[in-house]
Amino acid sequence: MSWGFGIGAGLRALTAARIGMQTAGNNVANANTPGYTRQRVEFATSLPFAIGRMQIGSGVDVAGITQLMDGGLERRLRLQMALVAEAQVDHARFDELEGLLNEPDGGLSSSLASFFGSIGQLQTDPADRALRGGVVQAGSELAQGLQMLSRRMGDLGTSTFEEVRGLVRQVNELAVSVAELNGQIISLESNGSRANDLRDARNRQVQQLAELIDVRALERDSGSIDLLVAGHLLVSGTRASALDVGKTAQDTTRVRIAGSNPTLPIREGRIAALLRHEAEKMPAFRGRVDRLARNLILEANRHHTTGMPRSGPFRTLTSHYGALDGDRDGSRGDELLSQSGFLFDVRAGELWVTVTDLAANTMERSRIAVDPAAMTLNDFAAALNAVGHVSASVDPAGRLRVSADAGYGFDFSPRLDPDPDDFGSFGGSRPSVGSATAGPFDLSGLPFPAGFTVTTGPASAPVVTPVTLDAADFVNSGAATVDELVAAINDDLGGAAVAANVGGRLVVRSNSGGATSQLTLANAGPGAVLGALGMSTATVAGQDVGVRTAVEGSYTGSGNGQMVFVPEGDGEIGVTPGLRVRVLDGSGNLLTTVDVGAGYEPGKPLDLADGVRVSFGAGSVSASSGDVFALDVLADSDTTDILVALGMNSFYHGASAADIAVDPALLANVDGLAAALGTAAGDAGNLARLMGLRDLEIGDLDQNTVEDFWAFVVGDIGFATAGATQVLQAQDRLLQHLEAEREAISGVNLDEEMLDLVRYQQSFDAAARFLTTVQEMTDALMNLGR
Amino acid sequence: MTLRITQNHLFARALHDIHRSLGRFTVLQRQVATGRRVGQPSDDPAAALRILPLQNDLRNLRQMADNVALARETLDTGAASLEDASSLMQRLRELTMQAANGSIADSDRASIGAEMDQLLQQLVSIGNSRRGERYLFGGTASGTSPFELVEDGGGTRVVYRGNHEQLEIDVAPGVRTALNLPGDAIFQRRERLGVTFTGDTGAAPTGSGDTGHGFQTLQVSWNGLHTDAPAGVTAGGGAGNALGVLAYAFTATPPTLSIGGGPAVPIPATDADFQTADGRVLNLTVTGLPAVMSGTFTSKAGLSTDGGETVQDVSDFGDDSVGVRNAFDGSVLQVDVRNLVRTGEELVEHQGTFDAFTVIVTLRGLLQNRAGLPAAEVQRRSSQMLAEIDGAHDAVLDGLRELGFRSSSMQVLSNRVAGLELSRTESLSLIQDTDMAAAILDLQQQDLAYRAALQIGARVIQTSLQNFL
Repeated sequence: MSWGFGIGAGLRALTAARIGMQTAGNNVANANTPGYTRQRVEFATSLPFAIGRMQIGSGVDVAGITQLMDGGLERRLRLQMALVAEAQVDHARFDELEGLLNEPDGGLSSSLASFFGSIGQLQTDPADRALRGGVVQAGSELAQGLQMLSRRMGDLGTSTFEEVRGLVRQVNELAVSVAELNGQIISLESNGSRANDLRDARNRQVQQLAELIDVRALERDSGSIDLLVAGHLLVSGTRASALDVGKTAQDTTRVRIAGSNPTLPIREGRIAALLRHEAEKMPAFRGRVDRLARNLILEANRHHTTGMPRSGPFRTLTSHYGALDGDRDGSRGDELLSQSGFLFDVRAGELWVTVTDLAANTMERSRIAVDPAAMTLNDFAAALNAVGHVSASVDPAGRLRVSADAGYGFDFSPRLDPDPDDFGSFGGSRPSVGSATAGPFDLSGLPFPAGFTVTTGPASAPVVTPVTLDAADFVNSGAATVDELVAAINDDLGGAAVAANVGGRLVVRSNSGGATSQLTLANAGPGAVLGALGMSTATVAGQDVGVRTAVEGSYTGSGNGQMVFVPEGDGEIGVTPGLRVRVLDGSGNLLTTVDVGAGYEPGKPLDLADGVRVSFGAGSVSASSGDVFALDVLADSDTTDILVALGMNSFYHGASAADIAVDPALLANVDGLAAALGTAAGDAGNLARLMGLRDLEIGDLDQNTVEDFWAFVVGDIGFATAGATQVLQAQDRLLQHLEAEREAISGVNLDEEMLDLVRYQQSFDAAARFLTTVQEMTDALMNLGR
Repeated sequence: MTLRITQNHLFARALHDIHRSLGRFTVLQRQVATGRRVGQPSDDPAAALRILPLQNDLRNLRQMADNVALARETLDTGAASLEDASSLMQRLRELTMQAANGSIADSDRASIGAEMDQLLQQLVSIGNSRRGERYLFGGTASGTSPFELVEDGGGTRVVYRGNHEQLEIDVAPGVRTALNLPGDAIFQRRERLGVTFTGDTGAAPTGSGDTGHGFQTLQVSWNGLHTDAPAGVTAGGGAGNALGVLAYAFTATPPTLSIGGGPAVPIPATDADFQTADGRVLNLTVTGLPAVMSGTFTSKAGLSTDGGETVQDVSDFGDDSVGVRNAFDGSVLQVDVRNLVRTGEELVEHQGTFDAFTVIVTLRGLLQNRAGLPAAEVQRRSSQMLAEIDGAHDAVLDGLRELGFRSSSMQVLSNRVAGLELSRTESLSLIQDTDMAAAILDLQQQDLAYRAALQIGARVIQTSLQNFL
């Protein structure tokens, strides 16, 4: 046993106590360092040595300084931090979005309400310019509100790109620093020790990364870690790749490993939350705002395009939108309507054009059948051109230009024709003979060419015109249509008489009127043509003054059709007892019967179905000679939306929240506002239809009204924001809990360290006393030797 | 196991508690300061979903309240005009009473006629009353004056240029009211009672299919011979008054002709008057004897209600309704000609069809007496007109009542709308407004909690072992 041995043990004890104190000091010093892991000195007895059979202890060894941490907990904590970061992004974004709405005390809901309110106000005085201006202004404010919302939502998208770019820069910096730390840790730990503080630092970096992006750390034997970002290697040992931010074809942000192609499917962290917002959540709301705007534009324009401006029927009208040159052949208007690039689809259906003779105030209504899959804009213009007194053309920009002849105007309003029998086949002054039933007629039994004669003029000077029908006049002589017959007959008639299709019946009318004018149809040659057509061969006389039929009211029924009026017998309006007029629909079904015989005061309006009132003037009508007149009743004069697609006399331009705007022509001149359906100054018919938009449940808006749809959007954003807040709170609580747990294991308790300090100080004191004792013993021994 | 509590944990915990406390404090503070429990949708999304429709309802109701106010104003303006019309009718009645008085001089009648002329002008301008730019009594044709005074060959009449459409607005949920009363319903209302003919031509009213109104004059003239006249007999150049189917009898020797059982006149004769047994005369030219010596022939009548502008030829005297059309106003008079025997004039009265305008026009014409009627006839007709004046006045009063009724029902509606508005406001307030008492109590509690959190936090984090070593 040597003396040195005692000194060695004492020295080791002193060192151990000092290291303990140092570690406690380090713990105290780093008590507030984020991510710091409490360190503890591990003591172990040093190797004893044997003296004979005895094992004698040689003091203490410092086995190492360990970090007190729970690896699983650290991983959970890292994940939780990512979740909290995501929740924070969600919350901030929705909060901002909610702020944009400015609801419930302003925003779009009040714009919508004031738009409808202004229409309601104008209803009280449709001619008032100030109130008209109010509607245009309110419509414009609504458009601006939608545009602003759309733009600000777009700005949120743009800011996502910038924000992601900033965050990716942070990711890259962190990756570089992790790679550097990897290098230092490898070189420090190559001797088998643990670089605790460097690991702490690296842990902190990884944690920060985890907040940004989904990252997996794989520790290697060398002590370095590899980082996988969304399954792709970002850091490998001491080498760090960089991430790169760009845009996809859909203008959304994408993140890639620099120099490689595939977009990283990032699922966690702040960046993932931002990308999700940009790609899914924001477009969902933006899409709904666009849908709202689109349907508002469509419905408002459907009514406005078929309304009547203050100035009455149009003299000329040019569409706002043109057809696109889809096949790039340099000519617009030769593409099918379905492929002309209109903002709104043209549907198959019918458009009714009304041409008004402005001087005589009579109107002529024409139906244009539209099939977007078989019709080009040029075809449509040609169909308009076929309407009398209207010419249409497609300009080089693909826009449709329609103009009326001098003295005429045109419109697309569904109003009722106040003078439906201007052809005069219902007791008119000019004699006429009509078929007893509506067409088509079975003429297959006739020996073609078959014919009849039309005798016109006064009895004293009859004019006989032969009419010949050939088999070639009909597509199918077994079902000869009225229009085919009209064309074939008019070919032969010349100026003495004219044939027409009135409510589906064939009518031949003399062109001269008055009581002396007569009309007689007679079969000529073999075959009884007139019998097959159900036309009377009796002589019909004209009247000095024909029966004047007049219509007022507005049609409230659904669907487009006709009311066909035929007398039930022969007689004089207001005189003949029991004289009745039948009102049939377009397919010949009886709608109602009105009594116009004795007791009826000629000219007195009679209520028919669906808001239509009709009056019959004095005069004679005849069932046996086939008197008839037809009234077009239109619920929707444009079932095709072609006017909306072209933007002819529209209220709104655009097709989404981004580009909705009131037609500038309306802003410049409020007289263009189509408040009416007819031409009366106080007519508010179209305003009533526009007002009906308020209660219209729109299929594309999930069967909601515009206002309700918006309320749901606001509610959903509210739910999303409230939800995001709750998620953030919940995740934050979880994080707190995990942090508390981490603190419990890895955190520094100052009291504990104080106690450690006291303990190590006492150990140090004791070791020093031991050394003093050893020294005293050595001195004593030395003195013995002296 | 015992959880180690570290200083950091204590600090974090204290900070968190303070934050949470402060957060709740701020929310409550905002609720109290703004008075709103729901300041933005996320405060209570379910409530927000109910707030927006309620607010829409409220705005709608306010719009309707405005509409009601405006409707009342318009209706009252209309009623005021009709009150003027009513007092005008009153004055008209007074003047007519005077005119019907036998002791009044012809010159005074003429001056009353002149005043009637003024009344007519006034009534037309009442019919053309405006509110702002808008004519009140023209239906929806409110941009042009609805009544026009027309003077032409058909006499003086007032023509309605408006339409019969009503300008309707929403005044309460589900209630639409017309702001206007089409003018012809007020000033030109017709409740046809019947037609009387005054005259001796034998023409009779049919009572059906007539469209004229007020007084009309039916002129019955001779319109030559029908084709059934015996050979050799043609219309003479002179005048005659016998109409209808007449019997004729020739005698061969001496050659004579007698018509209608009257005296035989020697023939041939040129422009000779033939008299019937009942004293009617027909001027004929007869050249010789026909093959058939006796039978009937028809002396045609011409009927006109427009002073001869258009003449309706009558050759079939079995017809119980011949329509006679007035070229000026387009009206049709149905005449039963079966007993029509002589030419002359019938005063036609369409009873119950006198509107305010025709009454005045008729009276004016009567009093100016251009036709030179005897004073007694003028008096008789004037007093006859009193009933028609009352009828026309009643029509104006009916219109006035209708407008008054609408206006007063507006009052009821406006109360209802106000009530609805109140209940909506209350519902809205219940949903979105802060319950102040509860909120302030909460606020105090949170204040206390906040202070406690601060105090306890301060106490805990201040204590450490160092203080005692």
